[in-house]
Amino acid sequence: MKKLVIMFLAVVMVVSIAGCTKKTNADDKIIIWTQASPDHPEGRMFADRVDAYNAAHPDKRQVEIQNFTRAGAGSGYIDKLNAAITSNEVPDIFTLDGPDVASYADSGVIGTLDGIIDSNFVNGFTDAMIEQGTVDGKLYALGYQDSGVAIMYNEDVIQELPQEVKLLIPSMDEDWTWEDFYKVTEAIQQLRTNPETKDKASIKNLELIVDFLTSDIPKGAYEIAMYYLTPLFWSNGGQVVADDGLTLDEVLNSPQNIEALVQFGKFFANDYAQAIEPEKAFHTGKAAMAVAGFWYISDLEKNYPSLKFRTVRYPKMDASYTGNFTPSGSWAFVRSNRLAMDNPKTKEVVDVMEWMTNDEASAEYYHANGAIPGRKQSISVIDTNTDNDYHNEAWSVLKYQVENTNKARPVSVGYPYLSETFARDIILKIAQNKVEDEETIKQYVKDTIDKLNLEFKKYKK
Amino acid sequence: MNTKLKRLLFYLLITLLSLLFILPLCWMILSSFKIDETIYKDLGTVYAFIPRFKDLTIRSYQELLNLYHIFKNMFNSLIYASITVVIGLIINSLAGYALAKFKFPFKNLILIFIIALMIVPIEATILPLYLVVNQLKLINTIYGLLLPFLTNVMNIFLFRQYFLAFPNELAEAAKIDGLGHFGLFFKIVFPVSRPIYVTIGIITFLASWNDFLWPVMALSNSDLMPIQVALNAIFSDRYNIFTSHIMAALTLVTIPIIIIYILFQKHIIEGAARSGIK
Repeated sequence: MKKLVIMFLAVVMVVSIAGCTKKTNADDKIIIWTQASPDHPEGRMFADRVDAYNAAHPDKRQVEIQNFTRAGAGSGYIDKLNAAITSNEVPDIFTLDGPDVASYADSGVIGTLDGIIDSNFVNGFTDAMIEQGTVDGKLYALGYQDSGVAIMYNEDVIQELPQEVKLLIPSMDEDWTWEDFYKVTEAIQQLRTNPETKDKASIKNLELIVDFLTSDIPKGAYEIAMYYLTPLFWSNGGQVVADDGLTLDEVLNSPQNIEALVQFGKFFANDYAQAIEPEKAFHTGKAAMAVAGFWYISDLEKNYPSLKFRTVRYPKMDASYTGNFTPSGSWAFVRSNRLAMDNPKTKEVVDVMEWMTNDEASAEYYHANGAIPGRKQSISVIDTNTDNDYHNEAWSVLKYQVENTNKARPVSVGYPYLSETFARDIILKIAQNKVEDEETIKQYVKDTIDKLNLEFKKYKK
Repeated sequence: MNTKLKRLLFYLLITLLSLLFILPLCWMILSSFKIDETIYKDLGTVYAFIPRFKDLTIRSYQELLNLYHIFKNMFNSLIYASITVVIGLIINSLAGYALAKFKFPFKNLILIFIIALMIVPIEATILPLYLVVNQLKLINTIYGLLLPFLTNVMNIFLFRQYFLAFPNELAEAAKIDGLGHFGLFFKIVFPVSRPIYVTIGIITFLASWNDFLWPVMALSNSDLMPIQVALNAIFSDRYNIFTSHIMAALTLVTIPIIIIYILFQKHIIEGAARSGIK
C-alpha cells in the first residue's frame, strides 16, 4: 500500500512539472486577446484575420490571438483580463466594450494611439466609432463593428389604423418624433377595443403595443437602458453626464431629460408598454411595435418568416434637433500601455490594430458575423438589394443611422455603475411603477444622482 | 380523515411537486425539437409540454452541431470531471478520515480553518488563485485547470462528519489483525462508506461539469474548452443561435447529469441523510 501511495505522489509531481509551459507573452510576438469564444463566428473571423496578417507580413513580428469566452456583459473574459493586469501580463492588444474604454484609460492600463496611428486611417471611421474610442480628447480604441437600433412595426396591425394615423408613420428615409410614435401606439390601443377591429387575428393577438425590452433589466442586462434610451435625452438637447464624465447635477436632472423621461413614462402609465414583456413579444405578434436592435433582423428573417416587419428610423424628441443621437457602439481593440511610445514594437502593435479594423476587415466581419461596419467605406457592403423587402428596408434604415446619426454612449470612468444605476433606479422604476408625473420622475432622478455622486467621489481629483 | 384519503392527498401533493420540477425539463427538451416560431406560439398552452408530432424537427440539432463542436466540449468536461472526482475523492476522504479519527496537534484549529474556508466564495479567491497558478506557469495547461480543485474543504468536512460515526472498535479489530492505517482505510473503511463517496462524487462531478469561471481564466486553447464555456459562446452568438438551438444545447448538456442521477439516486439519498448534507 505504501508503494501505491509513493507511486501516486510521484505521478502527481511528474505531471505537475510536465505541466510547466513556456511563457507565451514573449516580446517576439504580438499577443491579442478578445472576448469572442474561439468557436464563435466572431472568434473565428478574428483568427482568420490574424492568419492573413501573419501570411502577408512574414518579415514582421507574428501575431498570436487568444479568444476567450465572455458571459453576459463580459464576465469571464473581463475577470481574466483583470487578473492579467494584476499580474502585469497584459496582452499587447485586447478588446474592451466601448463604454468601458474610459475607465481603463483613466487607470493607465491602455495607451493612446495619438501620434502613432495614421490620421487618414482614423478619419475612415464613422463619427460614433471615433467618439466611442476617445477619452479626454485622445484616441484609445478602434471599434471593429458598430451597432444600431430602429423602430419596427407589424404591418398587419398598422394596416388597421385610420389613414390620418398611418400618415404619422414615416417612410424609411424620413425622420419622426417620439410624440408621433406615442400617438401611433395610442391609436393601436384603440383598435383593441374597437368592435370593428378587436376580433381580427393581428389585433386579438396583441398583449402590449410596444416592446422596449425593459424585461432585460431585471435579468441583469442593465446596459440595454443606456443603449436604447439615452437618444431620448440627446435628441432633446440633454446629456446623461457632463463632458468630464462625473458631473451629474443639472445634467441628468436637466428639464430636457425630465421631459424625455415623462414621454417614456407615458407608454407605461397608459399600458401601451409593460415592464416585463412576453418573450419575443414583437416576433410573435404580441407587440405591434418594438424598439429593435439590429439583431432582430436575422432572427425575424430566419425564424418568423410570416411576420411582416417594417422598419423606420429611431425617433427624435425634438423635431428640430440636428445632431447625432441614435444608439451605437460595440467592442473595440485597444493597446496595452506596457510598451513605451518610442518602442519600435508599439508602432507594429498599432499597425496590427489597423489591420484588424480596416475597411477590408470590416467587410469580412460583416460577411462572417453580420457585424455592422464602423468604417465609412465599408458600410456599402450591407446588402439592401435582396429579394426580401423587409430585410432591405431594415438595413437601409440602419445604414443611414450608422453613417449619419449614430452617437457613442457617455464617456465616464464610472460608466459601469452609472449604466446599472440609470437602468435600475430610473428606467425600471418608471416602467414598473407606471409613472408619468414629473414630480415623481424628478425624485427618481434626484435619488439616482445622490447615489451616483457618492460613488463618483472616488474619481474626483 | 381515513388512511386512504391521506395517502391520496399525499400522492397528489408529491405528484404536483414533481411536475413543478419536471415540466420545465419537458419544455426544454420539447422546445429543442421545434422551430422558434412554434416554441413561442405554444408558450402558455398545453402544447408547450405535450408533443404534436407534426411540429417536431431535428433542425436545431443539425444546425447547432454544424456550427459548434459541442460533443468535443462535453468529452473534455467528462474527462476533467472524472479526474477531479477520482483524485478528489481519494485526497479529501483521507483528509476527512485523519480529522475524524487521528489525534494530532492543532487538529481542532485545522478543523476551524476548514469550516471558515467553506464560507469564502470562489469569486473572492479566483484572482489570487490565478496569480498562483500563473506563477507556477500552469496557465493554459490541464494541470492548471484541475489541480486547484482536487482538494475541497466542503468535501473534507463532509467526509469527516461521516467517518466520525465509523465504529472505533472495528478499526481496533482491524489493527489487531495486522492492518496499517492505509490498509485499514482502503480495506475496511472505504468499502463500507460507499454512500458518502457516491454523494460527494456526484456533487464534485456536477461542480466540475458546471464550472465556467475558472476554465475561462485557466485555458485559452479552444481544443481544451469544457462544455460550460462552449455553452456561453453559443448563447452569445446572436447571429446564428436562437431559442431552439439553445434548448438543443441545454438538452444535450443535461443528458449526462440525468443519467448519473438515475443511476446513483439511491446512494445520493442515503449519503445525504447520513452525512448531514440534507
